[in-house]
Amino acid sequence: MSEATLAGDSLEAVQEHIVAALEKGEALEVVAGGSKRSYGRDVRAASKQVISVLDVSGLTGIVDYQPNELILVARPGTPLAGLEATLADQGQQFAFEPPHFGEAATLGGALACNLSGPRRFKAGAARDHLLGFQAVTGRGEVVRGGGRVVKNVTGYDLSKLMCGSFGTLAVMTEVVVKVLPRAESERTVLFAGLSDAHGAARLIAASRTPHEPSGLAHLPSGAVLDGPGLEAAAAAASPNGAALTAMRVEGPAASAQARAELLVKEIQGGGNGASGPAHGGAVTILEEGDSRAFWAAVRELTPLPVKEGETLWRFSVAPTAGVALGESLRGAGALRLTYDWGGALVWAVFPGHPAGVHALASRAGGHAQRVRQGPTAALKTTGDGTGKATVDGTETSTENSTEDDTVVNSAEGTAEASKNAGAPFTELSPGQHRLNLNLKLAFDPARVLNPGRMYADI
Amino acid sequence: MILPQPEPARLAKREAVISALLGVLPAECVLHTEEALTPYECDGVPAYRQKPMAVVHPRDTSEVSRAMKAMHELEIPVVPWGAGTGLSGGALSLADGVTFAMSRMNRILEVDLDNRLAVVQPGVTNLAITQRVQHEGFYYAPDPSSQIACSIGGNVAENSGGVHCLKYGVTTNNLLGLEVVLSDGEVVRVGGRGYDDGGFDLLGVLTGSEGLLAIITEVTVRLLPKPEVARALLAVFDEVEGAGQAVADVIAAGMIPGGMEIMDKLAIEATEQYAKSGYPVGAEAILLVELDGTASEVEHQIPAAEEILKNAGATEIRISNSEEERLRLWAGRKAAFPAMGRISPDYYCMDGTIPRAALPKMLALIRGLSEKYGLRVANVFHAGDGNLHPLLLYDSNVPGELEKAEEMGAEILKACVDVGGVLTGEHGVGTEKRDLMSYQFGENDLNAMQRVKCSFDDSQLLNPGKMFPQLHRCAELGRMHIHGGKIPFPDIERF
Ligand SMILES: Cc1cc2nc3c(=O)[nH]c(=O)nc-3n(C[C@H](O)[C@H](O)[C@@H](O)COP(=O)(O)OP(=O)(O)OC[C@H]3O[C@@H](n4cnc5c(N)ncnc54)[C@H](O)[C@@H]3O)c2cc1C
Ligand SMILES: Cc1cc2nc3c(=O)[nH]c(=O)nc-3n(C[C@H](O)[C@H](O)[C@H](O)COP(=O)(O)OP(=O)(O)OC[C@H]3O[C@@H](n4cnc5c(N)ncnc54)[C@H](O)[C@@H]3O)c2cc1C
Repeated sequence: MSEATLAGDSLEAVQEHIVAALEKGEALEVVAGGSKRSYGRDVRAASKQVISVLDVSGLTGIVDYQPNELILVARPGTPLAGLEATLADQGQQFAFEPPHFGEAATLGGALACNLSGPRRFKAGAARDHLLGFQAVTGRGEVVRGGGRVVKNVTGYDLSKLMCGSFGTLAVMTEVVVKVLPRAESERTVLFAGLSDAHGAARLIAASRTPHEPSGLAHLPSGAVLDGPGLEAAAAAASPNGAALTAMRVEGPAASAQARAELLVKEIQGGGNGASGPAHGGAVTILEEGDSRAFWAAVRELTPLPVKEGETLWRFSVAPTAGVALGESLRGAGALRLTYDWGGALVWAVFPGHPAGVHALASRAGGHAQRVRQGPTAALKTTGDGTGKATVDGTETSTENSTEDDTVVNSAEGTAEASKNAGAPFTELSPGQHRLNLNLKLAFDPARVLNPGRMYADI
Repeated sequence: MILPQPEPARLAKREAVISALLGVLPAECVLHTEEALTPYECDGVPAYRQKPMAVVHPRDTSEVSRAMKAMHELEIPVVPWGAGTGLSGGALSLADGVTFAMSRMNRILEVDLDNRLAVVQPGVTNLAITQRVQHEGFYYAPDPSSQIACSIGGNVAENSGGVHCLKYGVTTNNLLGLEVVLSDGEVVRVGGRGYDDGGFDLLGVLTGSEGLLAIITEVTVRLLPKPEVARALLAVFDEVEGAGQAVADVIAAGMIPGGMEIMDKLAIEATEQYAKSGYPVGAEAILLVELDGTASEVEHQIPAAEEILKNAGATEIRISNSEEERLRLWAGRKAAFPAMGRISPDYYCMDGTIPRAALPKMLALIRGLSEKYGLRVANVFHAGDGNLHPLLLYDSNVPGELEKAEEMGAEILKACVDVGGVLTGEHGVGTEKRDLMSYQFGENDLNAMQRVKCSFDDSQLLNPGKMFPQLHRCAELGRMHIHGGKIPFPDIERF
């Protein structure tokens, strides 16, 4: 994609562009490729400042991979898919199972968004696996944080600030990530036809067992299950596209099988102190290959397609609060939902931009984030060679279709539309906001990096 | 080590400080007599001693907040104190400051097993959390050897580890939320009951902040179902390097044991005298491996691990067949620190982490330093994650020995950095390693950390003199050099 305007393909180049932007009083939108670009606020909508795209997708390559030390050192623009294949060759993986949301998703993008997959409740999030980094801050300074070893408490844990800051504090130029052995095999128990409340209760019950489930999801009826490897799951949900309540166990094949069977027995029977209901639900156990395909689908949200004009939202709450929140979201107009992380992660698709979701999230004790909105606005380089980007209405989405209410023909218009669309992230408490703002200004006092990406002033 | 020097202007405010504290706390919660202050003279590092002007024992968050606010108004530094077991002088009191002891805030506020969490006050001991939930089949995973005494607030502040942290993570990986009091008295909650928080990862940066960013007043911890089984293997080796190789081989085979610990000859000898757990006195090294998890998985792994240890040159392997046997295999390791008291008047515990491949090199280096300084060294390692605990044995009654131990310790830690490791794996920087920070980090890196400090505590009243070799004034750090053009948003407040 030739939309990139400033190539940040080396530490020096990234630093040079940031310093230049500082000198000119301009700002930069940090993009690795853009698969998660509509996650959060539109940087361009936030101000009338000149904003160039700093494309860091050229910062690629493995710097050092030491399977026995459990570390991978890589440049953040490296595509996730290739990295995961390299790790798999050594029987390893990123335990946080990052969603890709696009073929060329990068390691840096996943870390910057702190995106974690179904294993998150057991293995931790992206933020639990970033051990160290090198980055250029919004001050144009090269900073290192953390280290290259798996255990380290020397100084503040700045790696945690890199994760989930969406490139608003610093541009990572090298990352050290903890890698872990991949389980030999896995199985997934599927209960079909449970109500959302009953399905969620079973997930909670499973989470209380010592069988070490590493995936606990509930797909309400109507989830889309087509694609290679999903035949067995689709069959479990047939004929009417019944709800599926899924529990993954990983380990040596015999152990995974044994634990899957124990889960069926204990959870279905409601035994072992489990609070789940004793009734309902045909049971299927997915074998290794089908299980892998199923959780890849859950991770990539393929059961929850986002169509034209729709928005995708993500809600993080306590596990037991998930289903009640889901019900209230349906009341607020949600079209489709899925539950992951044992109920603690709720994904919801809304037609257009819903009102009041943040209040519902807060009431449920959590927060909401808008992750995707139908098709995205394309960013095009103007031909004047200055590297300045402008927003136009060009259709760019491959999987989704044409119109989106934020795609308009001028920057002002976009700002207007985005305001109408409402905030993508639930507002922070005043105390948290103050600390967030102080941190933003500590790293990026001139607001060069992704201004307004997370909140209006951050 | 030069202790933080008191400022006369602050010492002069002593009366005002005590009366301000008495204004917000009941008299029984404010200690200021010489003998009442003695227990707060030093933490787990007896070599550094300083008494504060006063110690307060707040009983709830609002008392912490009011006392903090009072100190903020008087510009008096505050040192949070958990249980005083820290091994880096992090809780060392300041002669011109007030120590906030959190031990009265020791209630478990809530246990919620459906959400697998507990909400506790900071003074609750690490072990008390597990004790509260174990009859229901749950536990709190990070298990520092000091768990019977250390506080969860101290664990959060140090981001403490334990023998099981390779598999289950350290403190930061096992938290959901915190309530904290900032240096101006404001109460802020971060995280919550769900897994992800909004905004920057304040929970992550507060964890391991050594009392410099905020006072922790409530902690929401994750609980885990207790593994179905745990079995331990003890393997005996002719040389420490062999034990190190065995650790690499176990990991290369795709196993992440619950714990992997190495002890060398002197450590074995000392613990055997003290704990009598049947360790092979005279052996060069032992490696303890604990495999835990579901019964089916552990049964599968035991023979595989045994094979690996044998191939790596283990001369003897013992495997626990009951919970009792397992605890016996661990008893010596768990007693390793106190056992040093049997063979030496004093010991100085180092805590660097190295890439495991550098172990042979580090061992050779430590042996050389031991000869050079004439001090014996017993080695205990969290071997799975390369976290070394060389214990330097010295006698503080012999003039110059403490200084020798400190000097030797610094050499070891610098060597850890040289081989690609870090100064501290779990005990923190505190007072002790403060001056070594610039060996591991460059000026930009340290400035970035200090700006984080300023983001939370621009008055720099929380635990000053710790972690940073030199604390810059926040205003000084805020300056940005812009060539040519102007800073956009000139109206935005900066520090
Ligand atoms: C319009 C468009 C359509 C596309 N369609 C497809 C498609 O259909 N299929 C497909 O496979 N690919 C597609 N791509 C490409 C794919 O989306 C990107 O290739 C992928 O590389 C995106 O990067 P990312 O998701 O890792 O991070 P991004 O989405 O680029 O970035 C996510 C967040 O992380 C931040 N960030 C990224 N890197 C860093 C860093 N190094 N340091 C600090 N912060 C950082 C960003 O600022 C941003 O806030 C498309 C790209 C665009 C622009
Ligand atoms: C025998 C022995 C074995 C040990 N084993 C281990 C081990 O295996 N792993 C390990 O990691 N450590 C170990 N330690 C070190 C120590 O126990 C840990 O660092 C522990 O977390 C300190 O807890 P504490 O409550 O004693 O804190 P303190 O020593 O009182 O304080 C430690 C630091 O935390 C700050 N602090 C304390 N409470 C708060 C609060 N509420 N808010 C903000 N800041 C606060 C203090 O200011 C100080 O900087 C061991 C210590 C001993 C003596």
